[in-house]
Amino acid sequence: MFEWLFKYPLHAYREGELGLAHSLRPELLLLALALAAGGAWWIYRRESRPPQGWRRYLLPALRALGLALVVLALLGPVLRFTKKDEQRAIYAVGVDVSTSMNVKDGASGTTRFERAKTVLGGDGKLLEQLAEHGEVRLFTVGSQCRPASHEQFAALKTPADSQTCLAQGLKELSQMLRGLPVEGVVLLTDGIETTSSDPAAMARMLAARGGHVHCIGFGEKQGLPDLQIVDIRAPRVAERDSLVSMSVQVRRSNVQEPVRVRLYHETELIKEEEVPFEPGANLSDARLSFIAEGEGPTKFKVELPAAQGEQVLDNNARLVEIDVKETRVEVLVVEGSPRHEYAFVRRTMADNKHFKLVTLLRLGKGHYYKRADDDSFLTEGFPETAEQLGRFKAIILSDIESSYFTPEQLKLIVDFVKVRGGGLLMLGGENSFNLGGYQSTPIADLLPVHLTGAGEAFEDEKFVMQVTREGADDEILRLSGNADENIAQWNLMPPLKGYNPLYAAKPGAAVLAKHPKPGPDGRQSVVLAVQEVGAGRTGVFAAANSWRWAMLRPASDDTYRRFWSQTIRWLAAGSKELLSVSVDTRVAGVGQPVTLTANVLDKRHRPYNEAKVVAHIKDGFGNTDELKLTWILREEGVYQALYRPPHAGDYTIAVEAQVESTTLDALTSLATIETSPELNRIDMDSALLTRIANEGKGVVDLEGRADKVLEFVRENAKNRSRMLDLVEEKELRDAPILLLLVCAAWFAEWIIRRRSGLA
Amino acid sequence: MKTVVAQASSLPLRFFASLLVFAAAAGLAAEKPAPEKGTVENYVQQSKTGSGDERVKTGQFFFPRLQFKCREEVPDKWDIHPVGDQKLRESIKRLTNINILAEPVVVNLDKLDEMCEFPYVFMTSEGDFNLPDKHVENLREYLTRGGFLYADDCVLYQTGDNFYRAFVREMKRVFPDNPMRPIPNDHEIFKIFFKLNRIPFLQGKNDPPMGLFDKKTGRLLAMVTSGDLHCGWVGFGNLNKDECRRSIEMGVNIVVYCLTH
Repeated sequence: MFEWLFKYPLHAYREGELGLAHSLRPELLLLALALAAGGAWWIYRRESRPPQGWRRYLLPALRALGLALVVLALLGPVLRFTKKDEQRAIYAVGVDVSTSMNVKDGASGTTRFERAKTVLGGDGKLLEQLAEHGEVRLFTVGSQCRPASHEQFAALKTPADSQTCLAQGLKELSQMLRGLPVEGVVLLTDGIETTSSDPAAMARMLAARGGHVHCIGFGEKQGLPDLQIVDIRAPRVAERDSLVSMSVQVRRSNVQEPVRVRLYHETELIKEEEVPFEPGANLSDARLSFIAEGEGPTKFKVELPAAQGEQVLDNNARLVEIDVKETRVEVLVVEGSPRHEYAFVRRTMADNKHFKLVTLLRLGKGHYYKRADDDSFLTEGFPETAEQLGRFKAIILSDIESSYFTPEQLKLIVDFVKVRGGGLLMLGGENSFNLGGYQSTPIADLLPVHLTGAGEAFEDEKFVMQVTREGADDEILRLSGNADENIAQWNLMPPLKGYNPLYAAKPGAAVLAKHPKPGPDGRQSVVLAVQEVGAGRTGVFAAANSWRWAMLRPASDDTYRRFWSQTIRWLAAGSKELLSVSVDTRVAGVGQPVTLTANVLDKRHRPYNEAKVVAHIKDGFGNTDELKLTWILREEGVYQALYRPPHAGDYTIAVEAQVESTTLDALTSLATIETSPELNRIDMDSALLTRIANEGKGVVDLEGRADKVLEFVRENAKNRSRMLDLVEEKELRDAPILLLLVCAAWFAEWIIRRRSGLA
Repeated sequence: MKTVVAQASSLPLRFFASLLVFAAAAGLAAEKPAPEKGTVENYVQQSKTGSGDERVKTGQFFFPRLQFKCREEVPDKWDIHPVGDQKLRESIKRLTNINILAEPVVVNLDKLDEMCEFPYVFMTSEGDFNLPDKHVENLREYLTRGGFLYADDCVLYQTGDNFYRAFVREMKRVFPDNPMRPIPNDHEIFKIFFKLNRIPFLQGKNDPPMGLFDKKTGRLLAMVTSGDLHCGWVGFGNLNKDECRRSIEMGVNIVVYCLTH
């Protein structure tokens, strides 16, 4: 009878203990019961004929009792039994199978992996000795954690996993062993974690479940001479024949000798520089400047020659791909009058096939000189629609007063810069800046200097432009890869003649050059300044006679040409194509996810979200994958897709976008190589291994031996019974007694109500 | 109403256009909406009324004369008739938007840096001349840096073309692999401001104008004329009046070409 009512026999209740499956804090439990009682009492209070006498207490109490029993049933009453099981202790052994374990830094010239195998099955006999205390399960840890049989592991000769994800490995290992009594996890690794996750946090979690995480480290803690290319910063796209600057970050470990960095285009050495060395700092940047040659995606190899005694050379070289393009930048020049400044700029552009100059030049009363391929174009003056203006990538306003433009045209110029991403440059002259009345126009908001008002006359004096430190590093004024050399070269330039005094640069502006003499209030006038505005870029060049740099230097000097081509390239760099495509890395590892991004604009150069965008990705064998790019909701007009290149080689990516009735297309490329972040550093990360063991309440051995771990396991085995309590829970929710009690309470309530005439 | 602007127009055409504009300003166009700012039409109208009528002050342009060594027997040396230069300067100032200065400037090939302060240089004389090697070298450098040289034969005894021939010969020394070539009548320099179908001819020998062309871009680096345009600028009474006017127009065209190419 007891067993029928209570589901289990009486002795079970004596051996076990009652509890709740869904633990609830006691105060919340009391609150729930109080609410049930209060609710029952409140319901009776609202009745038209509330019960009187003893019934007013008994009836709410019976209803509350029934409700309380229902709440109890919902919380899952259980009968809990604790059992001891000493035989089910699990020891997980994870072995790092990433490529860094191939480094031969053992005393006998053995690899780390070979030594780990020795610890497991050879002299160390780790597996054998662990098996004496429990069941041993073997795992390999690389980019993933995988169970491995002893035979599979023995057959593995050379680890080849390109990544070490210790944190992910511990997580996957704990998931695979969920519910099992994991006594210990032993990691055999060099600790070179290649992801940003923290394995120590996972070790802490395992320890919270009663396990211990031990580490046996392999590799030199410090001391191996090594050179490594950590990072390369280079433009993804460069104009052909332009000066490209590449920054190479080099890490030197235990290398005291001078280090040189070499740049190869295919097999041809095109540049070699010494890597600067600062004692105490192991990271340094080397800058390589070179002229971009060739056309299309061009691979450059950056290489550090091996240092003395350096063993790992795989991290001494990296490929970088630059798309060398030969595009024509169409620039609109609006010139207020014929002057040498225009003629020389035009000659510079004419010499350079990358530029196409379209000119609107006011020759005299009613006379314009216009220069454009399309004769009808500009006949009626400055463009009046965004579509007409959108054809250009940059506009140069050269000595032309603001009243030349209508308010609508000024607004067009603002949109051209902010929305279309075009460039705007204002040159010095007697009709520029304040003298041209721009201070009260929206153009003033675009410029990198404050136009403070009238009264600043054009200064006709000669002066040598003073390049600032910021200017010396800037691509516009770059004549050499070295900032000091840059300044020295600019100081040799002939004096300019005439400038507009502009004393107040805006906070976001980069002042690249100044007048050498302080003005009336002690500030130097800005000669060259630039800034980014919206999607575009603007600049001021307050001098009026830069042609003097051409005429007063030897004909062989190309400073003037470089200044103008670099200035206009910079201005035009922000200009948006209707469809532009990019990949987040130009050289990816095999299988590494690459984000393909397309920016789609309508013909007014506004972001367009309704396009159908498809990428056709063709590999070197002619196989083509089709990939649909979808609009990412967080950014207007931006479409993305993930692509994992399946094998090494070059990929051509042709993207088509259907925008209303127009089909746009754009090309990009991707190079894929077999690469490994494993060799970013080769020393054993002893700090990380120590931290993992500390957080995991285990021990660490950085000498590649198992002694400490085995000693810990043996000691711990003595207390294992405490550690291996197995808890079994039996549900009581469906015990008949609960249902009977609920029914009895509510039936009694009903009977009393009926007898009292309340129901 | 949109005013279509030609790249250059003849004086009668321009006169006629001015009448039209004047009529518009007088009220004929009052019934039509005012032209929009930023258009050529607006500029044309503005140039006849209010501030737009004033010439825009711009970058300075000098009209220097080149001093060079002439032969003893030549009666008129490099400095012949400076009034011609002055009259052309005045015409340029009156007819164009160029901020040309009246200040006379003389440059010579001994001082390259001083000469290079002036990217446009004019030279004239009557007779044969030879440039010393140093001058040849400096002239090559001047032109390669971006200078422009216009030479006109002042015509010895109203018949010769000795200066013209000497100039072509000496330029062969300056650029041995790029000799001067005749400038075709449809070249832009004949129509860039005033429409001229040919080079004006005042006196002497009517040789074709010769140009030194940039091998890469085709731009004119130097040119020489044999028809004594310079005397046309002076406006000597014995010369044809129409040709004198055309010589001024050609002088304007040469300067405008230099400032736009």
